[in-house]
Amino acid sequence: MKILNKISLILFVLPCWYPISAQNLFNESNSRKYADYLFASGDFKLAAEEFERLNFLHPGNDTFQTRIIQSYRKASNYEFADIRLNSFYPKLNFSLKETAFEYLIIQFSQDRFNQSKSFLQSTNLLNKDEKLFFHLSADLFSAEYEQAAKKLGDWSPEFPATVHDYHQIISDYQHIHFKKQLLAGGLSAMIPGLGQSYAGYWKDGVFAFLFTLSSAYQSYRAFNKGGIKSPYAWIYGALGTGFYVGNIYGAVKSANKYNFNKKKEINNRIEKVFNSYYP
Amino acid sequence: MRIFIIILFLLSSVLQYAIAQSPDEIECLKSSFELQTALPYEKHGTESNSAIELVFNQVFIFYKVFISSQDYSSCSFHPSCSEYAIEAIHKQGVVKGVFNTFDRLTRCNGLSPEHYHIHRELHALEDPLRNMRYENIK
Repeated sequence: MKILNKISLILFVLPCWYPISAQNLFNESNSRKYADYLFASGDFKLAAEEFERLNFLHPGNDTFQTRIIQSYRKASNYEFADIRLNSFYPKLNFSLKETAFEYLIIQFSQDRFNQSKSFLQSTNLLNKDEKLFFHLSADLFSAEYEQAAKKLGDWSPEFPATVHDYHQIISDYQHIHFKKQLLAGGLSAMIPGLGQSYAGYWKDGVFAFLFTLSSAYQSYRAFNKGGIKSPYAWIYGALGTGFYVGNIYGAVKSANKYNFNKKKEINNRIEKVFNSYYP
Repeated sequence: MRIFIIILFLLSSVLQYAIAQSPDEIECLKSSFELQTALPYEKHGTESNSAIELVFNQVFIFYKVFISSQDYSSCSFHPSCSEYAIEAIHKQGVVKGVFNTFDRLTRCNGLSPEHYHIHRELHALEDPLRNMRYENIK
């Protein structure tokens, strides 16, 4: 009986050890591990919340603050990332290079290229190559290709490897033959559909030619048959005029569409290079 | 037999009330109809800026409701040419809108799918209203 009492006492005391020895899941090191895990697994929304908690526990920690900004930015919440960045560093006095990168990427996402350029001139956190990359990115995103080419020219023949893709993009842009709207319109005014063909949409050009020509022919035939009193002649005449003017309108639009697509293609390539530089 | 018919008649008249919808249910149904929003082209049809625009819009709406609806959807674009025309006339005015529509009609041949995005649900080529500068008109 005594043994049984002892065993039951041990069994009663033993579980008391667990709360003493158990780890605190919410202490700094575990929270840090969890936040890092969330960040690494791509759950940036939750990672931001976890880093916010860590920042609350240890305010003023540059790593946590940078991670918060980074998490919001990677969760595509650029506006909030910008707000948090301004609240942490109102004077832009960053101590980490990572924070400077975040600042630049957020400025780029909000199309504030001039602010990015002035920051690049004043900061000492980035080296020469990195500054060149961001300067070129700002120029290319704001469609100042000539300025970007000039900057690259100052570095040639040996510019850093990070801007090789930009060099290729600028060179490709300079070789694009953009379509002239006036020429497209003029060609379509002379021969319906020719403007569309010039802009690269030859199938639309063929249809514009056929529609205009057939309406004009029908109108001509009806005028010959019934004179000016023939209603069909006037109807076909109005249709033909509509197709003719519409074809000129469409030719100018096609030229603009061609130019728009080419610029979009270049822009997509710039975005791809920029996003792969600092993911 | 006569009594049977009278009983059946009375029963049916009582049953009618038993099966019929209550006023609350009718109100609920009414509100569900109100929730249906008008399609953009229907809105533009009623919100015309001028008399000429109103006439053009009504012609296209007449075509859409009474002629085009009787056939299968054969336009290769989304929005369809008639919807595009109503929208163009409403947003660009009669002159530009009509010429934009004529341009659209010549492009509606389905031979250049490579130049357009495809609407996944409607299986049609996406061609929203754009002006001469190829800018989206909202």
